[in-house]
Amino acid sequence: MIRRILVVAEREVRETVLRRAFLMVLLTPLGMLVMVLALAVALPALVTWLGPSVEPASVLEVCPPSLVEPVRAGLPEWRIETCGAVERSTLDARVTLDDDGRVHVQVRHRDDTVALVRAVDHAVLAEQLHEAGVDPTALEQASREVVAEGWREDRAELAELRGAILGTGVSVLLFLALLIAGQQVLMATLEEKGNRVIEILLGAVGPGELFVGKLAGQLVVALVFAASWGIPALLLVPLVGLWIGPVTVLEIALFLIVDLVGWMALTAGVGSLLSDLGEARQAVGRAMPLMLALVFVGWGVASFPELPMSRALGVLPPTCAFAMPVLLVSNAPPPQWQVALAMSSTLAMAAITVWFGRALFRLGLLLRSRPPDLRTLLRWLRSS
Amino acid sequence: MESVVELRGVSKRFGSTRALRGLDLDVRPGAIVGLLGPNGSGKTTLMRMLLALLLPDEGEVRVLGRSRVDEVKHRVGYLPEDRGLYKDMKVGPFLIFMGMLRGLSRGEATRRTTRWLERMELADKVREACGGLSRGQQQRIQTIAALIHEPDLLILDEPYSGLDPMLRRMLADVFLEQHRRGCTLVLSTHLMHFAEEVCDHVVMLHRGEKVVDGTLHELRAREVTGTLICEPASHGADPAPIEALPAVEELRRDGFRWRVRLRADADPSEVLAQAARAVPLVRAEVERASLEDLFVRVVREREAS
Repeated sequence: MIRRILVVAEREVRETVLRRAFLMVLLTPLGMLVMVLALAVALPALVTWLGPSVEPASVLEVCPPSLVEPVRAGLPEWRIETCGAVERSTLDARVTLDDDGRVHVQVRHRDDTVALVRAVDHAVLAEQLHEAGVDPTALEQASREVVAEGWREDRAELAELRGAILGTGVSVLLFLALLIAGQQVLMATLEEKGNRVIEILLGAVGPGELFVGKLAGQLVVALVFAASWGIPALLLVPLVGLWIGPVTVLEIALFLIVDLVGWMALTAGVGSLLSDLGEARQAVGRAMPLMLALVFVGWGVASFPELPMSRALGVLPPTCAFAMPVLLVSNAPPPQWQVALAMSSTLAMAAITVWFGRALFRLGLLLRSRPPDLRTLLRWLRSS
Repeated sequence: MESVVELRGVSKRFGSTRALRGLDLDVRPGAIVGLLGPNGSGKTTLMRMLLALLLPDEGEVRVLGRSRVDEVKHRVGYLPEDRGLYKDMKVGPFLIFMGMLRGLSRGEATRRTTRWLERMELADKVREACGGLSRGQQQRIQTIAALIHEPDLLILDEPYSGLDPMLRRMLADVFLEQHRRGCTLVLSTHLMHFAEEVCDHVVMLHRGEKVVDGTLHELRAREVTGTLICEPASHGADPAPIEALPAVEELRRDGFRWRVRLRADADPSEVLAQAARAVPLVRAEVERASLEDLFVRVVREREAS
């Protein structure tokens, strides 16, 4: 029996993971990671390349020569020439003194004006003070402004923000994993029914073995998918100053596995009752609000983890399956007893959905007519 | 000897429709049993019960000595009426997968896949996707999937439907090979003349009830008519010497053949010998009712009663 389950599971993994569409899904996060890293490496060079045209070594023409030294003191990295010493086309800026004693600063690009004017102004002032017999340093000390700076305790806010970001990331990852896995199971079940290969399979294995094998195979597929998104995310998290501990990663992985098993069992059961793609789309459409509601729950819990409501959502079924992994990465992680309670609730829910999904699967596999209504379905389940 | 298939008082209902009613059936080892009957008579329901795809509302089903059929599925081959393949899966991996599901190792399943594809003239298709094959090729792949593990019991639901004569003959030969190997065959068909060629035991179903159950030999012996079919050696031969025989009531031309109706008290085998002596014949036989005639007669009798 175990061997047959493994054979079914192996086929599910091979035939799903090796499909071009799935490979694209797997490669997307890796591609994004490579892009982010490439951007991180290339960004400084890019900034330099796109940077201001007036660089430290730019040419500044200063007239008259008496201004050269003070300006050089204010702009030590500039190449400073006296009047007429350089070609006009190579000039980046020019400082001249008119007959009225006003200093003019001309620059090639307006962006450079502020820094240059400030430096020249400073230099000219120093020179004027010097000529007036005033020590510029003494004057500067005597006229030093009182600078008032605000300071606030933002570490708590930062931690909250980090928790919210991580929590939202975890809930999005869970949502995507459940969405993709559910879709895979639904389509795989529907394909077997639609191709009529299901009866050949059932001639070789029991429906229970087929169900468990399919679930095991698709679980591996879903974990490969989750790893392809989760591992790059874990690598990126420290780069932006965040951190998730290995125990927390393990706990989230456990919740993910149990969530996937329960959800996929239900999807396989529902998928077996459907006959074509149109019915499948309808079913996915009906499930989507529920899935999106889970994302909102995740976002809410991630944003306000300390609220009693968030704590309750984290331990009570059915939301605990989704909310507890989010709470685990929040800035106020729950105590261990709450984690254990949430895991027990999630396991119990998964057991119920697996039982229900298996019963539906057995009933629906050979069904050729339209899906039954809920009343008929319950009657069938009772009689089976 | 223990029956390969044993049904006792099996009934099945789908909503208000009774698919099977109190059915009893025994299939002996090495038999080729034909389940005959029109569409909706319960043949497919019965076959699905043999594989526990459906469970009876009442009664008991035992296959290869077990009432838990899932335990012996690896000894059963099944070709369902609704045939299908994974469209994107390649032929070779599909057959290896089916072999492994039936308990073969990967190596053994690979060896048998190669051998069977050669036997079915499909060796060059091993790397092609199943969905790209023609209908006849797909049917051969499905047949290999049912046989690859050399089952003790082979259940074939309408195995010849939609096939051309060449392919039908090829598959019939394959099934008979399996029978010679010791495999018991249960096949359903509504092509009664084909069942007459292949089966040695016939079960007829009508509206979920068994109306005939016996060996082909018994049924044929029971359905002897009082008519001889004679085919003269020459086209212009004169039938008068046969018409003159005392046991002959009437002779009627039927194309190249003569249909000779005998008197009620006549011994057909004796008249056959006399006719052969009277006129040179290339063929002479006692006419028997076909399975179709038998079926129609039985059903009419039941409906009348």
